[in-house]
Amino acid sequence: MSVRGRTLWCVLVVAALSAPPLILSACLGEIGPTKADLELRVPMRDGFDRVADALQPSCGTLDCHGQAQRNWRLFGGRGLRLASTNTPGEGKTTAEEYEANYWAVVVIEPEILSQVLADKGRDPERLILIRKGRGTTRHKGGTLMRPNDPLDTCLTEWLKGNLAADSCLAAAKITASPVP
Amino acid sequence: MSMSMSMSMSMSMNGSIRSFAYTWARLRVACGLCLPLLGACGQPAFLEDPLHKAQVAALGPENPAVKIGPLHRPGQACAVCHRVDGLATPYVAAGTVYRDPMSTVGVGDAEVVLADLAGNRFKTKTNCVGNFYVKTSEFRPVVPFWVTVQLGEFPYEMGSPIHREASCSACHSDPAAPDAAGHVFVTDDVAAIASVPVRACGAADEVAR
Repeated sequence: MSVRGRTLWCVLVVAALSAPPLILSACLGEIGPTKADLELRVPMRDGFDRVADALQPSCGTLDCHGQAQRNWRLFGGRGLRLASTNTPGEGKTTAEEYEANYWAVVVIEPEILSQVLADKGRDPERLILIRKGRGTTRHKGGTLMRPNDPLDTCLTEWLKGNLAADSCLAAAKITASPVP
Repeated sequence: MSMSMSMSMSMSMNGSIRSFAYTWARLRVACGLCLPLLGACGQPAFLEDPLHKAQVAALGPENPAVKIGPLHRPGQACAVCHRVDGLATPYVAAGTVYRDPMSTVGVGDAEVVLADLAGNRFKTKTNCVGNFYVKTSEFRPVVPFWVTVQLGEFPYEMGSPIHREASCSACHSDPAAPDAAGHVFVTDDVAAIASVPVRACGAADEVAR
């Protein structure tokens, strides 16, 4: 075999041996999630109880998302109860119910929520939670909040990493307006 | 208008009205033939939503001793039939008020007040079996709205607003459970139960508004 032939033969052998690992690593890179993809941000848990209280009268009543049949479910002292021994209207919202509500909100759209949080709450209407509440996406429950009203402020500030305690409290205590 | 009347009237009318009268008469005959096919809440069987049909079936039959009207089906989900796209008069809110949480003794003359987010109010009273209803033609609340019940010295205030549900019993069903608040009552004070007035039904109770 000539020198040229031996060189060509060596190149082919090296190529044949190195190709599978290269192809495999390339494919793994394409298909498998990277560590960065899996690191989703979640909103602050501290103070969420007040956000949940704000959601209760507008979203979590027994005739809306306080129904066991709904795919997005909220629990609360005045709505659907988590423990089988509790009934609506008796007792306050429990720690387990607040925890369930937190995760109910977080897992609606975890990836988009993560992006909104990364952007410090900018453009919150990327989240269906905000669009449904504002009525900008079809919502059987209609429009429940508008920008700058108490419930909207409570939610959007929470997405920015703040707790608008006064707004959350006001949203939690909505009541019938007095006769004009 | 009877079929013969519509036929005779059509003689003196112009073509389009005559055609309408004839079609109307034919429709009435056809509807009469279709009556056996009517299903839940008087809706044609072929138009029925199977889920709605199941809800109606769950209500069970009418009590033959009670005429269909304001006194019928106390404690049941009124808006299963009394809904906007149903054949019965649609209600904004309707239900039954009981004397106490343990029994199902309905109380009459309890004042029921609906108060909405915009400050609108509507008042009505329960009849002798405890039933009340508010028709959509009487009150269009700006949701959510709140309901209070007052019978003499006994008040009942809902802690939660109502957004969509017109039937009280949809949420206030028995027995009380994690997803059911139990029936609406005027007092749970055992000492006071005997003093809650309960009255017999009169002819006026059977008359719908």
